[in-house]
Amino acid sequence: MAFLFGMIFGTALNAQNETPSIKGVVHNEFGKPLAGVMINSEKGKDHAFTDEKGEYSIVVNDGSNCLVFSFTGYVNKKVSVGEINHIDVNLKSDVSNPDEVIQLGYSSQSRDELTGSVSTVSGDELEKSPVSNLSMTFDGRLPGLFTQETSSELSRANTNLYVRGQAEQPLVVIDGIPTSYNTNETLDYISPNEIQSITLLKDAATEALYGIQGSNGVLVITTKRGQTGKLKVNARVDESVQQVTTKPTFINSAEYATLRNEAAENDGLGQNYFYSNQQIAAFKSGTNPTLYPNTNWYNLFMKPAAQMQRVDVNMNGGTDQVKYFTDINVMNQGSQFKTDNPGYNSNEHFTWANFRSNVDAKINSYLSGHLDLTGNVKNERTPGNLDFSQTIYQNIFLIPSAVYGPVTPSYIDPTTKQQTGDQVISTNLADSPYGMLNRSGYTNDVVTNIYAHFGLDLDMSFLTKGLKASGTVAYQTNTIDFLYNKQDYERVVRTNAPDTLAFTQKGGDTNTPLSYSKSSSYYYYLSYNAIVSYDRNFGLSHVSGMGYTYYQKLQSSATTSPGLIPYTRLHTGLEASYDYNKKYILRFDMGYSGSDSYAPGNRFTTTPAISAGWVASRESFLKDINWLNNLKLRASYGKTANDQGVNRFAYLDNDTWNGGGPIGSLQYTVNEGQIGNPNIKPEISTKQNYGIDLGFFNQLSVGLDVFRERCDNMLINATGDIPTFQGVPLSNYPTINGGIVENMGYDFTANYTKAITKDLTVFVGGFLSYAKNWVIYSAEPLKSSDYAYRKWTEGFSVGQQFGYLVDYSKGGNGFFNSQSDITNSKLSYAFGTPRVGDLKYKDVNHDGVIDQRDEVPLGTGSMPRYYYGISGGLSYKSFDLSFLFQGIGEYKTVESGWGIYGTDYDGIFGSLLENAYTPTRFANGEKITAPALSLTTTTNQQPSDYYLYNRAYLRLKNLEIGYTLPNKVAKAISANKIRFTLSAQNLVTWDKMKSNDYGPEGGYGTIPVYRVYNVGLSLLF
Amino acid sequence: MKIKITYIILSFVAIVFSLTSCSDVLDSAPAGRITLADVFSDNNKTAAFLNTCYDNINQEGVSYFFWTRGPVEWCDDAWDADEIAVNWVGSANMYNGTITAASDAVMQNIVPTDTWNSNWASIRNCNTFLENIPTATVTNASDRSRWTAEAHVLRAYYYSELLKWYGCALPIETVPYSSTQDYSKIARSSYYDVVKFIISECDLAINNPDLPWRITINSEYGRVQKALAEAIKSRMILFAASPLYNDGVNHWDEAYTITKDALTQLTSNGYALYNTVNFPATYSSADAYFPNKYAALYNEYFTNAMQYTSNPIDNETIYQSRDGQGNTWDIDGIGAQDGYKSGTCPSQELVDAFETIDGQPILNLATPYLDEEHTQPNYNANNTLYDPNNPYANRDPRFYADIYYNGSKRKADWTFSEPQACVENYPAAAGYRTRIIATWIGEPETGVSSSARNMTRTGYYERKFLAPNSGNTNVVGGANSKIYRLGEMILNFAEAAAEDNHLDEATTAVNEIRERVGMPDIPSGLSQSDLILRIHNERRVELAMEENRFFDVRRWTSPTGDLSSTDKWITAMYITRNADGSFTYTRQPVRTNPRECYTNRYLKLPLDLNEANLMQSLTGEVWQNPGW
Repeated sequence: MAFLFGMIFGTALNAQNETPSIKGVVHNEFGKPLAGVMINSEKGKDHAFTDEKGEYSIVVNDGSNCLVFSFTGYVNKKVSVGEINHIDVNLKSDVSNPDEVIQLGYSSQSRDELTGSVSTVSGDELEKSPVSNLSMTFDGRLPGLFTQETSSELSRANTNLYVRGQAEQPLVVIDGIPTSYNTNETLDYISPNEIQSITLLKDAATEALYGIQGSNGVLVITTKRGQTGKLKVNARVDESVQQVTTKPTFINSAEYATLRNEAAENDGLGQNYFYSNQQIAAFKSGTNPTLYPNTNWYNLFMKPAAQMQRVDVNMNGGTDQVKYFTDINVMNQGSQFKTDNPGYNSNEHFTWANFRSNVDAKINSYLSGHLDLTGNVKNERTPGNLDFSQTIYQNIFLIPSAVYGPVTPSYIDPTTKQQTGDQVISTNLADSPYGMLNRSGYTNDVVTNIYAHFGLDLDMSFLTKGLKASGTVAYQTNTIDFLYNKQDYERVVRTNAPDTLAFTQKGGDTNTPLSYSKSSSYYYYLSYNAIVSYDRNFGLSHVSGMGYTYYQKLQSSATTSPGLIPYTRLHTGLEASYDYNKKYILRFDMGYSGSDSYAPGNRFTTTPAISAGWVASRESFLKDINWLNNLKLRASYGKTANDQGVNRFAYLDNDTWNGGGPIGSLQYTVNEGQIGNPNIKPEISTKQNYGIDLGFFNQLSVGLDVFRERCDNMLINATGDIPTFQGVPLSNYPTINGGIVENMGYDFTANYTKAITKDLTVFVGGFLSYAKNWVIYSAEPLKSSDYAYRKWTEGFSVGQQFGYLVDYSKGGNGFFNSQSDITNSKLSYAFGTPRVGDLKYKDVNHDGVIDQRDEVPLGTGSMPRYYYGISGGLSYKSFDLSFLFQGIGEYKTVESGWGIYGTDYDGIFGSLLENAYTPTRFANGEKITAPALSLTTTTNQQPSDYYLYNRAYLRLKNLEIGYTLPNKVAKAISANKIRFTLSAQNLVTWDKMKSNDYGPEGGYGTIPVYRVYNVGLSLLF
Repeated sequence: MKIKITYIILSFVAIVFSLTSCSDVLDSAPAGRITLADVFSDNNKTAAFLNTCYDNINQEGVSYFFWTRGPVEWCDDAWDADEIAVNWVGSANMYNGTITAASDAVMQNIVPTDTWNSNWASIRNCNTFLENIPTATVTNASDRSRWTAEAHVLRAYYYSELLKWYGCALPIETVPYSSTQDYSKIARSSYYDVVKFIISECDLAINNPDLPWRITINSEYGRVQKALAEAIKSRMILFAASPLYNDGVNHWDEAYTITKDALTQLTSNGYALYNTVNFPATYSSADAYFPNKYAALYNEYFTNAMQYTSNPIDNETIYQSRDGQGNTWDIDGIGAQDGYKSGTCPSQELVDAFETIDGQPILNLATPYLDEEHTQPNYNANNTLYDPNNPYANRDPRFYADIYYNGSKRKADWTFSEPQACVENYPAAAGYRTRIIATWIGEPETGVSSSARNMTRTGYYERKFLAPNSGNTNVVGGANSKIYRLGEMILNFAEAAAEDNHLDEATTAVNEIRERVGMPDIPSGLSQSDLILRIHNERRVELAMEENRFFDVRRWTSPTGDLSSTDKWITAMYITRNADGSFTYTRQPVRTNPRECYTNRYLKLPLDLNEANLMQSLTGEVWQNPGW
C-alpha cells in the first residue's frame, strides 16, 4: 500500500535539476564516526542522514547557503556551503540537548526555546524492555509519569498512567490526533519499534492548547517516518522467557490440616475438630496419597515459565519526493498454564501482528502529503470465558492441598468395559481450575484495530514567508469478534468419609458437548484537524504562531443509551511565541474547546496560559563561564480543563417511560433517572510550574520543576447535606462543579554523560518525582462530635482509607492475651465480640465502644507520592550495557481478604497465618504474625494499621547488555550492523511487604508481575 | 508587510470562524426523554407513574439476598445453612454481630435492596402521584378515584415497612420535598403518630367506592385493594400497642377495636381460612407423605398461589408477592436433593413449639428451658404424649406440613445415587424416588453438619414452602409469598383482645385457627397471662417461617430488654444412630459460640450511618436507633 502510494505520486513528479552533491563524514570529539546524524539545508527542504561510517551525501536544491548538522545529545552545527563539495564535521556533545526538537502534538519546539514542562523518551530507549504492552515500558523513564501496573496477565497487562498525581489518565495524542477513548488499549496497538519519541506534557503552557482534554497531562507519541536515503532494513528477533516474580507460599496438607484445626479450636470447637492427629500424621508421611493427598494445585496448573517470541522488521528510505517507513511486528505469546484436554487445545495463546506504513510525498514545491496506515490484529485464545485467566489463577488458591485431585480416578469396569471416573473434583465452595482449563471449552477472539491517517501540508510562503497550513483526516476503528466454543462439565466433591475415596455430585451441571456462539464489539473515531502555522525570524527576533481546529466524532462500544450516542468534540487553539536571540522567550497558548457533554450555554471553555523563559547562560555576563553551559529559568501559569468523569448528558433530566412495570394491567412504567444539571462544566485547573535547567561542562544536566495545581470546580456529589429519606436516590442528583482539590510537587532530574575515551562512554541519570494531592472541599457532611475525625475526605489525599489503630499501650503486643484481658479492657466492639488472640483496638474517642467513631486515617491515599528512576550504563567498543532502576515511595494501603484473614472458602492461608496467634505460641514467646485464626468473620477483619502494608519498592526494572559484531562479520552477510542483546525486565525487587506471598502490586490471588529474560538479535541492512 | 500580516490574521480568523459555523454539530441530545408535566397530562403515563409507585414492595419469601428467608433465619425460627459458605451476607453478619451502621449488610441485602432508601423513594413517588392526580389527565373518573386510593394504600404500606424494620419515629411526608428544602427543620413523628397516619391513609382507601375488596382479574395481579388496607391497619395498631413501641401508653383498647373491625370487614367481604384439600391427587396421595388431611391442606395452602378470580379457592390470602419463590428444592429445601443448598434449617426451638395432638404444649411456655443454651428443656408436666426418645410422634399436623425431620420421607427427583453409608436408603440410583430423610450424625447426604451448606445445621429441613414431589423433573416452583393473610389477622385480634382483657373473644379466635388443622381447643378459663402465652405460642406455630417471629420477639420486648432468652442460643438436634437402628437424641447449640444479634440494639436495626450523622448534625437530635 505504501509503495503503491509512493509510485502514484512518484510518477507525477518532475525530474529535478542535477546539482552536485556535498559529501563528508561526521565525527564526535574523539573522532568516532556518528551514525544517524541529520543534515538539513538551512531552508529546510533538503535532508540527509549519515550512515554507519558517519558518511553522508546531500544535494542542496533549495538555494540554502548553509547545512545544519544535528544529533541527539550534541549541539547543532551550522556550516556554510559555498563552493565546497566535501565537508567533514566534528560535533560537540551536550547532555543538555539544547537543539533537540520536542514534539508537542500540534507543534514542536526546540528544547532551548521551551517554556513549559515536558519529559521525553525515545522509542529506542523503550525498545530495551522486552515486554508485550507498550505502557509497561514507561516505568521509570518519564519524570512526572506515575505508573501503576493494575493487571499483569501476559500480553494483556494493564498499566494505569497518572501525570503528576492526577486522578485520571492522560490524553494520548498519536501523530497529532487525540485518542481519549480506551487509552490503555490504544497504547498497546503500538510497538516501541514504531515510535520515534514520546513527550509527556505536564504544565499549563503545554496542555492549555488541548482545552477540555488537557488537564490530566498529554502523552504525545510520534511515530517514525521515512528518511531520505537508500533503503534501510532493520530486523529484530527476540525470544523471551517469562516467570512470575512472586508466588504465594505453598501450605502443604499437613500444615493445612493443623491450621484448620487451630482455627476451629480458637472458635471453641475443641482440638482436632476437622482432622485427627493420625490423619495429620498421614498427610505428613505421604504414604497414602490417595486418601491423604498433598496436592500442589499451583504446580499442577502453572508452568515454571511462559515464552514469548517477537519479530520486528522495518524498512525506511526514500527520495526527496517520497519517503517511507514501514514496520511489521509479530508477537507470539505462550501460556503460563498447563492444559491436558486431548480433544482440543484450550490453553491461552496470543498472536499479535502490528503493521505500520508511514509515507510522505512531496507533490510540488508547495504541497506535500502523508498517508499513514496502521493496523493491529490480535488473535486470542483463552480457556473457557474470555476473562478466565485471572479466575483460573485465583482459584488455584481456593482449593486446599488436602483435597484429592484434580480428577477422580479413572476406572474401566472389567465386565462392562464402561469407563467411569475422570470427573472434575471441586470443593463445596470453590470450582477447580482444572475444569476451567480443560472442560470449559475456549474462546477465540480477534481484535482488529485499523488506523488511517491522511494529511496535506501546504507551504504558503507564496503568500508570506513562514506561513504553512495543513489538514488531516484520521479514522480509527476497532472490532473485536468473539467466537465461543463452550461446554459444561460435571463436578464432584469428595465425601466427608476420611477412610474411603468417594465422591458426590455437586450441583446439576452435566458434561455437555462443545457448542458455538458469537458476539462482537465495535468502536470508531473520525477526526478532522486543520492547522495554520507561521514561523519566521526577523533579525534576532523569532516569531511563531499556530492555530488549529479539530473535530472528532467517537462512536463508543457502548450498546445502551445514552452511551451509544456518538460523542462529539470541537476544539480550537491558538499559540503565539516570541523570542529574542533565544535568550528571552515569551509564549501564549489558548484552547477554546467544547463537547456535546455540556448544555449549549456552557459548551465551550477557554483555557489560556502564559509562559516565559530566560536563558541566562546566553547573557554576556555568564557566557564566558566555561563550566556552566546552560542556565535557564522557566515559568508558566494558566488554565487547563478536563471533561472526563462526567455522565453522558449530565445536563439533561433522564426521565423516560417504558413498557412493563410491577403491575401488568397498568402497562407502562415511568423511570425517573438522573436529574440534569444544566450548569455543569468541565473541571478547570489552574496550574503553575517553575523550572530551572542547568548544564555543567556539557556533561551534566540538572533540572528541577516545581508545580502547584488547584482545581476550584471539581465535580462532586453535592448531596452531602441531603438526607436519603427525601426519596430521590442520591445517585440521581446531579454532580456539580463544587469541589476544590490541590496538587503540588516537583520533578527533579539529573543526567550525566561522559565520553571518556574514543571507545568508552558512560552515562548515569535519574529523576525523582513527588506529587501530593489533598481535597480542600467536597461538600462532606460533618460527622457527629463523638467521632475522632469528623471529616474523612476533606483535608486528606484522594482515596484516603480509614481504620482502627491497634492498641500497643502498656507494653502490649496488640492482642488480647487472655479472657481477663478482654474483660479488663471494658471495651465492646460494634462488629462482634473479640476472642483471645484477637486484635485490641485503640478506643480513640474513649467511649468504651470500638466503632466507626474511633477510625483514623490510615495509609497514603490511592497513589504513591514518590516516583523515581535511576538509569545508567556504558558503551565500550562493541559492548554496551544499560540498567534502569525504578521505584516508588510513600505509599501505604490497608490490605484485606484472601490469604490475609484465612477465613475465606475452606481457609486460604497466606504465609503470615502459619504463625497466627495461639495461647501456646504466646506463652512460649514465639513469633506471632497474625491474629488468632477462625472459621468465620472475626473482629480482626476490619481495616486497621495491623494490615497496613508499605508498598514502596525499588526494582531493577531493566538490564540490557549488547554486543555489536565487528563490521567484517556483518559485511559477510551484507549487513551493516549485527547486534546481540541479553536483557531482563523486573529482575529484582526490593520491597517492604510483610510477606512474600505477593509483590507490592496486586494482592494474594491476582496474577503477579512477571520477570522477563530476553535474548535479542538485531540486524541492520 | 501589512498585506502579509493581514493574510496571517485572516487565516487564524478563518479557523476560529469555522468553529462557530459548525458548533451545532455538538447538538446530539438523546430523544425519548420526558418531563413530569408530560406524565400527568397523559392517561397512560399517569397510570405508568402509579405503576412506578408499586416498585419497592418487599417480595419476602426467599427473596432476601442470596436467596434466603432473611428475618426467618435471623430469629429463633431457623438457622441459615449458608452462614459459613456465604459468610458475607445477612445471616452471617447477624449471627456474628458484625452489623454496623456503616456497613449494614442486613438492610442492604433485602430485596428490593436498601430498605430505608427504597421505601422512602416509593413514599416520594406516592406523594408526587397524589399531588398531581387531582389535575392529571385521566380518561375515566373512576380510574382517578381508584388510583388515588391505591396510592394511599401504598403510602401506608411503605410507612408500615419502615416502622417494621426500624421501629423509630419518622418524618411524615405528604408532599415531595423541593430542591430547596431546609432539612434542619424536619421534625419526626412518634411511632404511634406514624401508625395513626398509616391508619388514616388506609381509611381513605377503604372509604373509596372505586377501590375493590379483591382483585378478580388476572391482568390486575398485584394491585392493592381494601383488604390490604384493613390488614395493614390490623398489623400496625398491634405493633403500636406492643411494649417495644408503646412509649409506656396503653393502646390495647384501640388495638382491640381496630383489629376486630378489620377482621369483621374482611370476613364480611369474603375472606376465610383455607380449610379444604383442593388438589387431592397431589396432597392426599401416599407419595406426599402427609399423616392426615390437615397437614395436607396446610401444606397445600402455602405451596400454591392465590388465583385472581372472583371466586378463588384461596380466600385466606389478602396480599401475595408478585413473583413465585422459584426452585425452593434447590435453594431452600433439602440441599442434597439437588446438591446446592439447604437454606432455612428450622430450629429445635421451633420444633418444640408444636404441641402434641392432644393440644398440650411440650414445654412450659413461661420458662421453656432451664439453661441459657436451651439444651435442658423444661417439659410441660401435663403433657403425657410427648416422648423425648420418639419426639416426632403425635404432633400438631402443622409440624408434618412444615418440617422434614429424621425419618420423614420425601418422594422427588434425587440427583445422586445412594452411597453405602446411607443405610436407610442404600442402594438407590439417582432419579425420582422416595427417600428417607435421615438426619443423624454422619449420614453422608442429609445428616446434620456443622458447616456444609447442602446439609442441615439443626437436624431439620424446611417443608412449609416446598411442594410435594417437586424437583428437577417435576418443576413446581415455590408459590408466591403470603405477605398478608387472614390467619394473621385472626391472631392479631386474639392477641389484642387478650391484652385488652376480652379473654373469651380471644380464646374463640385462637380456636378458629386451631380448628382449621384439627387441633383441640385451648382450655377455656385460662388466666390472662396464661392465655397470652398460648396465643404467643399459637402465633409462633401458625406463622412459622413467615417472617412474623422476627418482629414479634422484638415488639414483645421492653425497650431496655434484649433477646437473650430467645435469640442468643439456637439449638440443633444431634441424633446418634445406634448399631441396632435406634436413635439417641441430644440437644446441642448449632454452634459453640452464641449468636450475637440478641443484644438490646438488635431490637431495632440501624439507620444508615451517613443519614443518622447528617440528621444529627442538621437537627441537633439523635436520629440513630439506640446502641448503633
